[in-house]
Amino acid sequence: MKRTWMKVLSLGLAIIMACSLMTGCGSGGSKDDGSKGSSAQKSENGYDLVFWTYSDMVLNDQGKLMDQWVKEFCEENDDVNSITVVAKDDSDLLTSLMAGVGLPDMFCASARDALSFQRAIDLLDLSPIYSEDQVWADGFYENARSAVTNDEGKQYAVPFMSFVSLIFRNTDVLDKAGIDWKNEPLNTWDDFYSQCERVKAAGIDATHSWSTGHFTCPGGILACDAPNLTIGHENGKTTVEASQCVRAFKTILEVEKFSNGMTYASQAATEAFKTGELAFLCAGPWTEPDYQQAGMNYDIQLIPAYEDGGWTGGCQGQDWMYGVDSGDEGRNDAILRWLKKMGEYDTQKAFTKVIGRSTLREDVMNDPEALDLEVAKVLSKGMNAGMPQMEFGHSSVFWVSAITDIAPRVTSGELTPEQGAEEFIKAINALYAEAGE
Amino acid sequence: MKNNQKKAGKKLSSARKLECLNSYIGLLPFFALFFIFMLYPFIYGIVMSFTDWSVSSRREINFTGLTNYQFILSGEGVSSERFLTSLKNLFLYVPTTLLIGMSIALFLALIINQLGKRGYSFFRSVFFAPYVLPMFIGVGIWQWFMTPGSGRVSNFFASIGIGAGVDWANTAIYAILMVVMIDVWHATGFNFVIINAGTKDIPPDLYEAAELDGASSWQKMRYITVPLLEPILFMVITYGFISALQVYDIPWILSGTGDYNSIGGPGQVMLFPVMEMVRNVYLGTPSGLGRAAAEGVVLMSIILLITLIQFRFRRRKV
Repeated sequence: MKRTWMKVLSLGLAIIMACSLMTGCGSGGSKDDGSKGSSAQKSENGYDLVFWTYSDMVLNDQGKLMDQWVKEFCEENDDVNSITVVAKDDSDLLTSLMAGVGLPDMFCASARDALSFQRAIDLLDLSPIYSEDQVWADGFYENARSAVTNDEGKQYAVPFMSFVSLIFRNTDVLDKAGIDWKNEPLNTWDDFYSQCERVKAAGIDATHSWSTGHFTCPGGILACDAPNLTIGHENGKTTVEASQCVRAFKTILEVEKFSNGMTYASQAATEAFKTGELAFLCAGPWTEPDYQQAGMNYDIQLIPAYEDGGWTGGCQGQDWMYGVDSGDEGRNDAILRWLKKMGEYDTQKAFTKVIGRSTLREDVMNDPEALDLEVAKVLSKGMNAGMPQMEFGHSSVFWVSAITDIAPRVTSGELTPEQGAEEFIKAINALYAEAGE
Repeated sequence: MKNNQKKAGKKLSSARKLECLNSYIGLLPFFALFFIFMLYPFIYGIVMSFTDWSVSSRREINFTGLTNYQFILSGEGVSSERFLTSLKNLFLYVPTTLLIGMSIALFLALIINQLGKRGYSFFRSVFFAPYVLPMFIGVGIWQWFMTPGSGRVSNFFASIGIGAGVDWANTAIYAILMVVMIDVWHATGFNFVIINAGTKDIPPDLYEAAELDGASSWQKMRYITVPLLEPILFMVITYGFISALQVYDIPWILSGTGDYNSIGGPGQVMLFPVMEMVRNVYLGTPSGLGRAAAEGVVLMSIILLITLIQFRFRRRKV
């Protein structure tokens, strides 16, 4: 009896494996031209397009929104049968694109890799949609618009999503520390230090380490000085000067006094925050659902400024939508229409309204109707300050990331803030040399 | 008569040939898959390590000779400095993790072997549990344990004078020791099970004879258990070496992957060669993929060399 069951189980497993293999073989899509890379074929009645995007964009509310956009688009465009939305995150997407086979028709990806995409594949020239509708084109933030425009003046991406890093405050902890959090926002660094001191005095950890593990926190502090930084590069060297970064390293050192040593974005820090053992957590807006699910009480603040009403920090990330040149005029036209839809006011407004994430349309982020959710309101303010993570679209050097190595050396006492600033500039220049820019 | 024999021989030979042909046909799927998924990528990787292959060279890839090898071993430039640091970390990590891991696994196997069937089954499950736990969960637990100031394990070490006030995950040497600890915790169960299975194969009459001769427990272990376990230990150590040289997942999760330049932690305190290869693949720098391939070849050569030395050493001993 036992043996029979074993046989049945083995047979079942073999069938499952065989089915998986066959499914896998079929999912790669066909390919008409290695260099052009469109994975869907034109059917008799229209095109079947493929769109790669982040995994969170196909789940929950974002997924519903995406389904709705696809449905609307297919109804409005007779020449498009379907759009298959495939979840692929950055590294997965880069690998697939570099392999050069089975490419999608459109994809959404980080602006950080924009130059790699330009080099790796034939991106579709999107200039026609920018030139045909000036109102559409003018709605984007100026920095995003210029970032998607290459040296020849052509546009190759549609700005879509953005973010700045935020500070989440556990308001239960603030209550215990006697902080009137509703009337005490984090406008300045002095506000932050004052609240950290009171939390510590109440016997609770104030915040995690802002110097270790990631560029987000030290880079966010550096971004408070964005108006004073001469960002750019010339002759393979950064135009940012060490003297412009000293204040940032002094602030990193000051904030570390309130750190409990947990690394940014570590599970330990996140759990401590959710369980009321940590007051302030610096994180991206995408982490908010985690806190909501934990049922905790929190509010959201921007990285503080040095003066009241001054420039707030946080490195701004951007995600764009790209099209792949299929070599087929009709298909390319359909791709252009989809990308235009993704850049439309109504599309991006719905995204901000439902998801709360900031988009790269300035008119949306300044529309009170789009800012229903608290996180969207805060991000809307943040979009007017902060600092782009790098020279999106015009350089492959992620220069801010060089701070990840230097900040811990400053907080450990190995370097003074002044020496840290000097080392930071050297590290940035080494990255430019490596990239050959 | 002779002719008949010859004919029979010929017949036999044809049947044999047919049998061989059938066997080869049967093996063909394996060889086809082996060639497509193993041999071809292996040779392709070696060839590409001599080129300027990068994301920007999709149309034209140029042969550059030993340039990639010269660069990664020169110590000049970010990628080269990082690769050499990763090798230094590797040479510290591999012997440490193997020595500690194997000693613990052997010790546990010998101790648990003395227990009854129930005790053995219980401890086998306990020790094997970390091996089946998803790595990211295991590493997450250890991050919590090692949090400076509040982590239970880091506090324990601090109380006995080791690493007081140290941020283990971000401090040189300590970061590698943290990776060693997690790896030992994770892999000991697997090694324990293999070694323990080996001990079960040792004939009990050898121990009975030794007992009659008045051998102590230490002598039994020294002269019976360890020598007869040698083939198993050799297999476990060889496998351990190869997997330790390719260490990737634990330090990758520990050091975070927010951006490619931060892989390996601040100051590359837990950077290992495979992680640096991944950085070169995705960073988009000129010759990035060629460099990654060259780094892969260097790592493969190290693995090959160490494995050959192990085999040579064993042959001499045998």
